Amino acid sequence: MSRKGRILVVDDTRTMRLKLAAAATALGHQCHSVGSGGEGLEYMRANPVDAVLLDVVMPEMDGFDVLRAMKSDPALRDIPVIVISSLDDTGSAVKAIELGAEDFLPKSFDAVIFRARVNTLLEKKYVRDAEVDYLKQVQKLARAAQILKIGNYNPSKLGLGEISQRHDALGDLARVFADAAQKVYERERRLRQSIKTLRGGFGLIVLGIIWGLVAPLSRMASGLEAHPFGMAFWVSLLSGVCCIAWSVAKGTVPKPREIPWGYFLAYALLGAVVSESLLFIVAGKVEASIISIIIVLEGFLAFAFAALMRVEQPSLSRFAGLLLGLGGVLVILYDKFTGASPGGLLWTIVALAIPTCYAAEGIMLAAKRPENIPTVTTVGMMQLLAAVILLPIALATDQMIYPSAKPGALELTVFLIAAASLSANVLFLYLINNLGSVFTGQAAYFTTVAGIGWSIVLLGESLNAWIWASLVFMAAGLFLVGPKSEAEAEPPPSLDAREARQT
Amino acid sequence: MSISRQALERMKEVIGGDKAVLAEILQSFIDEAEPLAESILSAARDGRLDTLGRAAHTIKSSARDFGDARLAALCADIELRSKQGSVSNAVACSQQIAQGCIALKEELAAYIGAEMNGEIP
Repeated sequence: MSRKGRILVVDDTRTMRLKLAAAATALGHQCHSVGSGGEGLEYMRANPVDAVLLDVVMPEMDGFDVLRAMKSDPALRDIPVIVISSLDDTGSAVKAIELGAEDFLPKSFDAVIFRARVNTLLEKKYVRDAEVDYLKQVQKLARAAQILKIGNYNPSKLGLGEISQRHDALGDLARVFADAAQKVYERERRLRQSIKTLRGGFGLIVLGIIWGLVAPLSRMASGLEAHPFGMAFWVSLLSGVCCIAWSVAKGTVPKPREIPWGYFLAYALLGAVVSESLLFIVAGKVEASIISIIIVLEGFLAFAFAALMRVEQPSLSRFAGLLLGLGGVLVILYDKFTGASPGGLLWTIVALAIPTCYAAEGIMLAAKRPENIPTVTTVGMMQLLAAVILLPIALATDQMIYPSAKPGALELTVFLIAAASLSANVLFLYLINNLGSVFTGQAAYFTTVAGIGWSIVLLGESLNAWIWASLVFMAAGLFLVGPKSEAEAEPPPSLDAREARQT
Repeated sequence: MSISRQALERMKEVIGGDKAVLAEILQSFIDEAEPLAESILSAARDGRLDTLGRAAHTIKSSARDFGDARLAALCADIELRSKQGSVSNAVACSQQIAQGCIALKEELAAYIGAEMNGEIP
């Protein structure tokens, strides 16, 4: 026998234990000896054992008790036992066999008998182990078929790795299952990614249209002589109150001690206090279409921040996509700055802080977000905190806007900006969670395009062929950047691929 | 001489022919012999038939292994009678077994010495 068996000797007499262990070791097996039935059971429960040589006459727990305990324990009942009994005590041997022992040996055995009985017993054990193992693998294969039947084709969920290593019909069947599942799974994964890109692209367009409205509305508000800090306060307050009212109705407002105040302070400064105040200040100095164009820089900055902070995986194609988008903006800027005044240029440079805030906000939201607080509640808390910060600033700078008893154009404009800001912030956060900060940063392109469109419609600003040509760059850039990869397990390489690598 | 060279040769064959391991097994019995003899004597004196039968069983197995047929037969008899619950001359029998056990121990010690000195072919 080439295979080394693991044999346990249970005998209370040290001399007999030494003899049995030496005999088993001489046959090439591993042997462990114990001096009582209790110790034997304890050893078998903690260690793999292929066969037991068991003495019958022992104090406290005799061989019969050990056999009874083994047969009542599912983990031990299949371990074969040879009882060691005297030739003049055949009654004990018979009783032991009735209790489940496989065979018996007289205490004064000879080498040939011992070898034959132990090796035969081990052969039977190995055959039985192989049968049990085969049956278990057939059950695994049946479970894999059930998993496939319900439409889960992820190969890593099928658990067929071990069975696929077999060189028999069962192994062939497992490989056929695994490879077919892998092909379907890869096809489905590509399809899911395409759907995600399309859905994300639609979300970006909607976000761009809504956000693009803010710059022309801000420009209109400045025409109505609205104070920037007062505007920012009311926009934050209105959108914050709406979101928190929704959150209270849904019961999603967290307890004060559960709120990460430092995080919300940074979010409020970037997402509302600085960015909105700057937007309303710049809107009085620069055309809405120029502000919209500058906002497209958010996409490039989001990628730069994400790459620096390793929030998302940078790649050459994504970098090229962002450069294409930036190229489109540069084309527009070249056209717009031809003949621009020095004051206009200065305010345009100040306006660059707006997309920087948006990009930093996007990265912050993607990298770390309180997971236990829903999106709308998060936005509402941020906006209310921003309103709290902006109130003393508006009062101190004498820029507070007091609503008139009879609402007019200014109140309507503030309300529309608040509605646009609220919708855009909620959608922005949703897209970041699902598509990543870099892809969502591409919303800036659509914001730019929509902002230009809204500027033409609402303010009568004019555009030329350069601007339309730049859209081609932006669309190409969006395609190359794409959403972040899906967070699902990669399937193992297909069998064909493995074989191809081996050859 | 109680022990049988043939029996010891058979045991050596069973354990793979290793003289050192054989010596270890014999030494184990030598170490156990006096406590066993004492155990069977005290069990007989106190009338503890269960202990008497188990001690006789243990000595019987070793006696057979070492080829001491007379001692093995004495042990088998007292083991059987202790199971039946009627050992009329238990003390006398146990004294014979104890003496046989000590004699077997001395013969085994001598055998080990001869084996070590290369006196046994």
